[in-house]
Amino acid sequence: MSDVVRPHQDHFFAQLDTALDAVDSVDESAPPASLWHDAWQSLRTRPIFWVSAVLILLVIVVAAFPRLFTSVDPTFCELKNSVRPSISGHPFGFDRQGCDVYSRVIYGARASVSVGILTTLAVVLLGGIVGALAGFYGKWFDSLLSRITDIFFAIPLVLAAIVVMQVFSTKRTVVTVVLVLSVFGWPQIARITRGAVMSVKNADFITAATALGASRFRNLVRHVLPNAAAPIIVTATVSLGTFIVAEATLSFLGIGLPGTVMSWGADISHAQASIRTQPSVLFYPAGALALTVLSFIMMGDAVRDALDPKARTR
Amino acid sequence: MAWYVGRRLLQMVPVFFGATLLIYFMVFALPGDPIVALGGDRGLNPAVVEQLRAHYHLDQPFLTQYVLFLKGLLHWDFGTAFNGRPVRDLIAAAYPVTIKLAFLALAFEAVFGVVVGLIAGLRKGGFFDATFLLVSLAVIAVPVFVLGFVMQFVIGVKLAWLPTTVGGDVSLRTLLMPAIVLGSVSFAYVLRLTRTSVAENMSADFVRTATAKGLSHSRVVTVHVLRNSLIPVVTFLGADLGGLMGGAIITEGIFNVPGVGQALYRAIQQSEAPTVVSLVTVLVIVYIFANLFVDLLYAVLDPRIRYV
Amino acid sequence: MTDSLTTPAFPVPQHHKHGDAPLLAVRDLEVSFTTAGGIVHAVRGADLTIYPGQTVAIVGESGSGKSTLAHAIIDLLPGTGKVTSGSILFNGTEVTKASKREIIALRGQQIGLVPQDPMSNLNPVWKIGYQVKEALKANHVDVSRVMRNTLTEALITDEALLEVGPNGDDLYLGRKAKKALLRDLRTALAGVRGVDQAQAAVDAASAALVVGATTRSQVVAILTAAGLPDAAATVRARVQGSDATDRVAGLLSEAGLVDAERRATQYPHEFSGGMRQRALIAIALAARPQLLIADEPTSALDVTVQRQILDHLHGLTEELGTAVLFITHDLGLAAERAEQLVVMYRGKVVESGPARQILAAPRHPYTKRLVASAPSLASRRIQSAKAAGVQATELLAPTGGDGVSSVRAEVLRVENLTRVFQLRGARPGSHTDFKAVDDVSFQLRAGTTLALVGESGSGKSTVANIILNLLDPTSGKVFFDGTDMSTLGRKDLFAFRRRVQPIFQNPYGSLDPMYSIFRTIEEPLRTHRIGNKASREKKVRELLDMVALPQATLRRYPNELSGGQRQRIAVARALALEPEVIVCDEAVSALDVLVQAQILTLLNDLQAELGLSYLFITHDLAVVRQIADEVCVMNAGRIVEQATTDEVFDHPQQDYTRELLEAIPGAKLDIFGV
Repeated sequence: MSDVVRPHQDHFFAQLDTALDAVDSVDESAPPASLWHDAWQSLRTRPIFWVSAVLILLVIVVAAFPRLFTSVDPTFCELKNSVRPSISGHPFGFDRQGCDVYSRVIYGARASVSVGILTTLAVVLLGGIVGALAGFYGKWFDSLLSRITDIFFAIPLVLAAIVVMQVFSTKRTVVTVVLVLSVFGWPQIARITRGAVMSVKNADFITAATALGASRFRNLVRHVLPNAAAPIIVTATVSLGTFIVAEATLSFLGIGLPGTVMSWGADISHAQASIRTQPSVLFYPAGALALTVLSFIMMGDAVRDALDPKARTR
Repeated sequence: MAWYVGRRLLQMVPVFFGATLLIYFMVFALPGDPIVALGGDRGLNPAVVEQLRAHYHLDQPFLTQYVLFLKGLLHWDFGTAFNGRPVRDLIAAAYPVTIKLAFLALAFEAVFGVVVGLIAGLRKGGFFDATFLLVSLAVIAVPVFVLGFVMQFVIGVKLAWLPTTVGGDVSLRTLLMPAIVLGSVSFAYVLRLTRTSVAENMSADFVRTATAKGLSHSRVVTVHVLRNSLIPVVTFLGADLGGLMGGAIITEGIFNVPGVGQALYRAIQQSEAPTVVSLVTVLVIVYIFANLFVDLLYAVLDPRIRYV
Repeated sequence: MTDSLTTPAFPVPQHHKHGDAPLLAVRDLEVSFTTAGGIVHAVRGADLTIYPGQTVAIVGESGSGKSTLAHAIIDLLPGTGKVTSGSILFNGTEVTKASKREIIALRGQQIGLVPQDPMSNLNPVWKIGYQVKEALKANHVDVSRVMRNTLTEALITDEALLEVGPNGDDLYLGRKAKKALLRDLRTALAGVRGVDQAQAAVDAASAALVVGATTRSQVVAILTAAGLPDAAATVRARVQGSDATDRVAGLLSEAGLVDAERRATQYPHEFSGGMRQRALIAIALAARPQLLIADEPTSALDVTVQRQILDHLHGLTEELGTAVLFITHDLGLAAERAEQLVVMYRGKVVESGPARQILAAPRHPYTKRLVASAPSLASRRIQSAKAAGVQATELLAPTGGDGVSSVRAEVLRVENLTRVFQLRGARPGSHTDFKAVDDVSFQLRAGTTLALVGESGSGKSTVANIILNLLDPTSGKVFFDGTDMSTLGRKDLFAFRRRVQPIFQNPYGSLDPMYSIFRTIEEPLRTHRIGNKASREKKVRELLDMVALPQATLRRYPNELSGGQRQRIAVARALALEPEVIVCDEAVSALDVLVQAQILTLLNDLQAELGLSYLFITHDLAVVRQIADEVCVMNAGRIVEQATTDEVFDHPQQDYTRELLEAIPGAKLDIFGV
């Protein structure tokens, strides 16, 4: 070591212009903020969230109360109106059968939205339970449940649905479609839940709760699941969109909902024939379908960003 | 490594039996009689029904049927279609087409997905990123059949750049449009996966260390960011290959591609249960093997896995 | 010539050791980050000067801006970080205005960086050797030195070349040449010496010859000493320079990695933390930079490894004449390793100057606080005072222990505790047994603190988990108040939970982020169905007072609190059930120095007030000095030494304990000599 003191290297100390604050003082000014509160704060600043929220709300209202939006009977079709362009009172024109396209788009929302929401609920329930139990209890129980999940995962959703719906050819209803999509759609949520639960279950606060005397099941319900909820919510929101697409695909193939139920997928399938003469017949139901799916996926995206664990820790 | 492969293979066994049993169950044991359905509204001669039942072992208990079916699979025998043609021949004729289509789609999504995703990830939050993020969302939201129609109409009919259908002429030119349609959704997923992965790795400690070493920006991006980001992307692509082969039903239908999807669609429409089971089984086997391949690929790409 | 055997196995470039012009001059530097909450000024008007070959340390706690300042020097500010004003002058280059190309030329070649966390700073998918080689290539290091050597040879005669000595002739030994030379040596010795003798000589030479690091003239010396006749001529014929792979191995050897040639072909996950840090040092020094920035280079490592690596780094930079900018939170460490100290607080340099002066006479209040709180210094102070025969009671935080601990009643006793884990082998079904805890016995007396000290993997946390009943022992017993815990039924065990409570290390992980502070502290009361809603709230408020947090904290969430505040919440939660024993598992290790001191004081106060007994589990002997009455030193699952704190510090019986004691930073400081 050199004891040479060079210029600028002598003992310097700053003037006390900044007072030292008490070590580790609590900021009492800001309002308390839970994680959900934080997520909401971050969510509300995103335009993409508001756009998708408004769209989702709109679609749900349309699905629930189609009469609010049109007074035209979608099943009233006259061949003399076949592929007529839009006229007053019929803004989207008529399809090949001479049915009002606007009215059919409005009434078609119900099938898509109900299939989407019901399937998502069923899938979250089934996949959530299987995934949570597998992830939390682990060992042979996990191996067993994971293999069962793998079996269902090995059969692509649409493929399985096509096969089963073919068998159910005489009993196609919203319930069967929901049932089929749920039975083959749950593995994804199960895998996500399992992963989320496994990453939380070894956290220090779970050990702390155990040391305090909390039972395993109490830990799972009170601590693990709330902390594992974020990825499940995100996946479920996005899946809702994909289930709507799956339903439309089945209806498009003619093995989804029966002809008596109005659905965007079936309408798109019918529009196939008139695409060269009047593309708008395809455009409107397809647009409605795409917009609905898009709004759910965008919502999932926005929620994912807001719940991003990296943005959480300050 | 050998044990890793062994374990994966072992885990595959129950999945294989479970999945095939499930398919078999769905087609033959669920309410609804495939043989009666075959006759359609006219109905079949009862003698013919009995004969068909015996031929497809439908007079046997369910599990026996399944075991006989598996036995057939072992001997490379996928059964016979109702028109008397062996399903094996059907598969032999249709599979090469589907494989070509699937690989073309895979090439499309891999190249464009990775390149766009890389640029978006490097400029996260910028204009390019925002635009393509929206594009990817739109592509995921628009159902494949809608996209297929629109492209067929715009590129095939209006602009007449590419043929609208494939039919008997299976070539790169005719398969290009169906491949793009088939790969579109996965393209969006590859883009998003690459983007997230690149953005994450860009802020990784080892990337900062690589920069501190004095490496040029392009070297840091290619050697450290891209190489690491490709691990999840390549595994996705591998799993997707299995999905593409099964998911081609719609695309092959729209563009009239003589592949497995179309054969399956026809079999479903004509209620040919045995053919459906055989085709779906083959697809599931391909899917399971694709997943196995992915697991192995993962071990090759990520040295940390090899010693687990 | 034999002298060169002891000289370092690498050449010393002719850096001017202590020039007059600063190597680095930072003046009035301002760095700010743009965040959602506005602009954050991370560095405010900082000055820093480093002369060639000098070691300067920046000391500060987390958030003081010390790392930001260091990163600004090589233009590696993360995210939105930006230099807003001021100047960074390095060797004549103004870094703040330099082009991208100039910056890239600067990085690695002139300024090396040893990062903080060895676990995350190596790319997991590339082999270690590749990552070192990259540093050589990127900085255009003439690995083989052939060009330079040809030039030298053209200028001087053969004989003269070998006489140039270790500094002039820097043609490195290649791995093929080494093999050939050892073969030559073996043949030469075969007839002359006995078999064993010859073998010993070959082995010794093999160990002394480091591929990629030993220079030609050193090779001559080594082989001559080993008994190779006409070594100079042989070496000249054999040693033709090294390739990049050789040099990588050489660099890794220099950084202290054993068996470097093989290690270079391995992946980072096959390395321990200490080995990874050595690899990172090799990378940082690969291009022989003039300045090395070491950003908390060892804080993630075990104390003994920490010391080895710092010693090695010091030796290496001393030999190479590299200036070092050392960034640390530990004042003791800084003072021990650097000539000059720069103390940072909230983005400002509050004090700077010669290390000893600052330590002996701190002027700024913050520095004074830091000097008073640093555990390493505090424990050193206690030792010095004791050595001088001064009563050190005023230096010790008031522990509950009163020196007559042996007469106090025993509250917890473990007997022959053993825990075996089955590690799953590479093959399915196969496993190896790993004894994490091996025959451990100790007792904890009421109202005292027992410290369980050991490095990672010593089994100390496993012991804690067994005592907390989170883990069953393979054999051995835990007695609480004389009752054997293994005989208790479910119900009694549930009741036992009340009497032993834990505080964990990571204040960010031990509180459920979804629970408000009120719910967090209330949870144990609810779990054990104590009181009604009103009485529980009253209790929670009392507990908050006890840990000196304002009532306003109640409705807040863990993510809104700092590490120290969270740890107070954890203490309050642990106290909710009025336990008798608290197990502190590294409870203060993750905290900043000043906060750490506060929590330790809090724990001491609570002990005095409530008569608590602590089982204090830590890797940090310095902290032990401040809080514990008795110490058990653990190594590889066993207790190697067990005595009162004074005895352990004054008369350590075991080598391992001595090693741990020496690893406390500041061991060489004698500024407190009274």
